[in-house]
Amino acid sequence: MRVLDLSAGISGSYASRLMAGWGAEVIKVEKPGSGDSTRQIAPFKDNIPNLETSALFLYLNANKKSITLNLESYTGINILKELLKSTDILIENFHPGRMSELGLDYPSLEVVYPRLIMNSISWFGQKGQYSGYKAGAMVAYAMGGQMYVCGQPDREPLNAGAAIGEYIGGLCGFIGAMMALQYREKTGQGQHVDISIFECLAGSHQFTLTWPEYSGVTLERPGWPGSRAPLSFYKCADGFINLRLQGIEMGFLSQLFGMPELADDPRFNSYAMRVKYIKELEAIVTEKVAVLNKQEVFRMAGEWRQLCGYVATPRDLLKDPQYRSRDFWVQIDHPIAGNLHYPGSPVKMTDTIWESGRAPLLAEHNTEVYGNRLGYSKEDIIRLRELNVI
Amino acid sequence: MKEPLYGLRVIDLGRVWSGPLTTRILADFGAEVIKVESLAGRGAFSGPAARQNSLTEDFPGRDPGQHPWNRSGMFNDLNRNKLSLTLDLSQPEGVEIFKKLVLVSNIVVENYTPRVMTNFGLDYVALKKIKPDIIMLSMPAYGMTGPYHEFPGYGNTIEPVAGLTDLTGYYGEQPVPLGMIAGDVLAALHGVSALLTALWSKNHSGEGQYIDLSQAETQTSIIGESVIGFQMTGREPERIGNRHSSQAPHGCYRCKGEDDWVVISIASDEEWNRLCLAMGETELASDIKYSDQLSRWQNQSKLDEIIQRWTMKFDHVEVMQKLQHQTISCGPVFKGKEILSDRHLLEKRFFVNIAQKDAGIHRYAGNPIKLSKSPATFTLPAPLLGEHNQRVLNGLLGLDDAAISNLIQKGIIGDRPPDAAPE
Repeated sequence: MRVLDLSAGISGSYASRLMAGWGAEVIKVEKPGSGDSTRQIAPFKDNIPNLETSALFLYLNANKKSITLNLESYTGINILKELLKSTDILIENFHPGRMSELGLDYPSLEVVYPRLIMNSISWFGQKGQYSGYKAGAMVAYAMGGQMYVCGQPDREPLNAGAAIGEYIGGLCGFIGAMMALQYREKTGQGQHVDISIFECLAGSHQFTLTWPEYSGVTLERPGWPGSRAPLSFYKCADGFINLRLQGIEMGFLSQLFGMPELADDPRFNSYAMRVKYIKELEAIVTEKVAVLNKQEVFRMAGEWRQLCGYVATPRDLLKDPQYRSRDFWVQIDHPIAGNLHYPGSPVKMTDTIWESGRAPLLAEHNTEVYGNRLGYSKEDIIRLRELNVI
Repeated sequence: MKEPLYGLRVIDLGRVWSGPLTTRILADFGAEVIKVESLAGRGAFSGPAARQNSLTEDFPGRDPGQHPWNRSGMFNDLNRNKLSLTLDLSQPEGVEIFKKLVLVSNIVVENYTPRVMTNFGLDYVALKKIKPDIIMLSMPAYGMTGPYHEFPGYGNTIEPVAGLTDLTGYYGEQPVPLGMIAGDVLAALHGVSALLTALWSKNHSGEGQYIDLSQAETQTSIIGESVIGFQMTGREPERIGNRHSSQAPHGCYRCKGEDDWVVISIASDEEWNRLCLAMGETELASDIKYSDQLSRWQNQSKLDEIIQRWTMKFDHVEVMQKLQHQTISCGPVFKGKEILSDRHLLEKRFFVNIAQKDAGIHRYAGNPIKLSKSPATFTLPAPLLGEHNQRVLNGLLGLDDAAISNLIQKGIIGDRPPDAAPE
């Protein structure tokens, strides 16, 4: 499978990261000189900005090839069209309309490359009233409806600390491309996949849409099921855990705190009683967990089959025994960023191999792609470089 | 047939959210998805426990009605385009029928805790013996192996363990859980991705395979940069709330309506100038204190006050229109009901109206994955419990009427939960 990825940022790159991990040849087409804008995003190795050591870039572009190509020039566009002859999937996340300006809109491409699958990921999609609007991660999270229910009821809604919309958009892009491949197997025809991150988020709900539709009720901050049987956070000696005390097995708390009397305390011996005496129970838990280690609480809760989470930091994640036992982290060596642990395959598959190559240096594969693949001579490549085409 | 997955048969043992969403995406693109449900299986959202917790918002008109198991909004949203076969897998005859179904299916999806399928005698090893090229996806909280594999988990207990919660919180304050769980969606989308990859691989190799999906790992996959960054710098990321690492102003501002908010982000000097002009603050635009991006970043609290004084004069959609007109990144913090009436989504026919016998006609979000030649289709409402018992058992597996009556008598199949009041 051959993939040509014109995208910058997270969404398109995550779609093509999955393709690269699962064995496709992904050629990333970057802007000469500066490359994908993600190369500018912190953190960097040793906190020193460097196009080759952005953590985000290295993560999203593992196992891909990098070529540079100036799409503002006719020569660049012609070279891109040569590459499209041997491309199965084209990914882009430009502002809608940009591909048309470049003469690369799907109707034009379809005529020449009928088997090509084109994948466009944008904030609002290629059509519709908002199509031309500007957005970013927070705007998408707000308009998608997730932000309204995040945070405290008496304060402003809160943005997520992870780029949820862009990753979900990338995943939907990957799925769309794979569906299009299945269709191509049957019909021989390519097609255009149009992903709107806003729509991906607006459709990724529970309760926020069905409640108003079914019963006219609006879900409020802090979200479901915060209002009834909340999973509340408690502070341990080294961080936070969450527990749902209304539904808790008292034997677990009794053992955790070394308080045998708690197991039979009549105030807490049923769901209804724990709801009634929740303040008292919370006071005990708050006091007792304060001296415990968060992972200890989490592990004992798990052994008692109790719902519990501990707030893992990146440091915790690297040491977590579950992740280690499943070899989730893979070591990848990079000539400039060095040897680091990266997330490996997002799932374990018995037959399909996940390839853990490193991210490419900017323009690392120009010679391979332009020389070996397209047959340009060394002299041509030097000329193209002088002309700022590559 | 135009559907990409036409001809594919999927058995869905998924419960609650992640599993059902996985198979719904396959169903939208033409797969025949058969939900195999226990008679009491819909209880999580429509059974006595849900009603005791007064989760009635999820019923039409807050009324559980005669058949609450068919009236849950969440269930009906996640299970459109599927068939329902009830089956008690704790009885040997139920297991035998399941095995017959596996023989004529291509994919099995389940999200139980790991011991359940083994207890039924239906783990991958067993299914592979019946159907060598079967593709099976298991999606428990922490995966099928490892020290946590038996631990229970839902989206909002897995998210902290996966590292999402630590990154989320008001500026400089303690972590805050995501209000809308993202974990189930991330698990489902990674699950579909893996299934389609396995299917592609099978197209060429003829072999099926097993997919072991840890919901925690699929969540951590969207914060890889934080973990790599920590190793590079030795510093853990800070919680920055509604701020941005470099852009400013970047925040959430109160508007005129009740609990109405708008978000605005400014990424360049030019955008800042345009924002000042849109707010009618010509002096601010030329104020040297805020003239460059670093000084705006350092003084953003002050700027936030100025911006909010302006946004409070308008409703949130008005602010969006004014600022987007100036090519500024801005959007309202939509409530669910506002999404349902959003003009862009309506214009794009994002919602689909689906009529179901016990719940009536409702709007549901469509499928955001738009394919130009083989679009998602919406042919069936969420099934009533056991609605397709006859169709699957007789039509597909060839059981005769006597055999089916026998299954009903033994409580192996049916169309209402065992604890339902008689009508």
